Amino acid sequence: MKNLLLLKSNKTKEKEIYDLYAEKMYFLCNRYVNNMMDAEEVLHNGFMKVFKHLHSFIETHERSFEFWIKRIMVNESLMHLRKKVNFNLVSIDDIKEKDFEAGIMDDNSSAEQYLKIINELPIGYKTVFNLFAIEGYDHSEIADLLKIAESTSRSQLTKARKMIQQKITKIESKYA
Amino acid sequence: MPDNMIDNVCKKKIDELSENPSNPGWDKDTSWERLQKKRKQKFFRKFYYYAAAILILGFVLGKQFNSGLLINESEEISNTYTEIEKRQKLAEIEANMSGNYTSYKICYACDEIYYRVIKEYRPVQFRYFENNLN
Repeated sequence: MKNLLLLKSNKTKEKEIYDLYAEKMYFLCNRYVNNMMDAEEVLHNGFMKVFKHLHSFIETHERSFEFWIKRIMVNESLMHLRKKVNFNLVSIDDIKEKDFEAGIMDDNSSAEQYLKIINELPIGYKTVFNLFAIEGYDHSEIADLLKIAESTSRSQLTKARKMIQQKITKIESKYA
Repeated sequence: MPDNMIDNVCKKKIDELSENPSNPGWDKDTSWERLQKKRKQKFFRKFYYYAAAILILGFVLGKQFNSGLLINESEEISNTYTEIEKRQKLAEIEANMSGNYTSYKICYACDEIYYRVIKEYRPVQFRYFENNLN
């Protein structure tokens, strides 16, 4: 209901919308582009789109407004990434092992450690993993968004999982 | 760890972070000001773009209007006509041009008749009269 009220006088309430969602959305953008400057640029472009199309948004239920903004931000992040990365060319051979300093990984490990593991994945793996596991897109949607084949999306997800698993095992054995 | 377990644990942890995100080195209010500045710049860029487009369009249309599309200010009636024929043609022109025709004069030195038409005179009409004259 709160979101519906925000929409009623959209021009004056833009700041309220921004205050409500900016931090979450910046965090989301940063997860994709992994660069503060770029993340802010993506965030700004996303919010400009949100404000522009606010009138066309029809609220269906309480959480859908946030979901709508999230979709816009994800699309903006991917648009930004597509300018820099060819997702078809990301290969396992390009991966360089980085020094990784995190704690023991289990369900009780801190969220920051998981975030760090995901952020250290190669860009293609990270993007596909974020879209599939965190945002809940399916492979056909991911293929569409990244302009890649569905099989590429599947293989990148498998490799991403494998890599996350390897990192977890490595850290666990280090601290065992 | 099975695949879906990796996904679930990661999702749970990231969702946890998303609910209360800490974004070190980033300030929401400063970012809002930068966003407002960016929007203003975008608006003015758009404004200048449209203004420039209108100017260019006006210039191109003006050029076409002055050159190819419309007739020259004065045209000559062939001097192969006799004096009576010239006057007849002139009367014809005057009758047909209905308002487009403004004035005419006769050059006694070369025995030619000139007529003057206003700028809005259409090329189609002009060709019609020209054919009639010849």
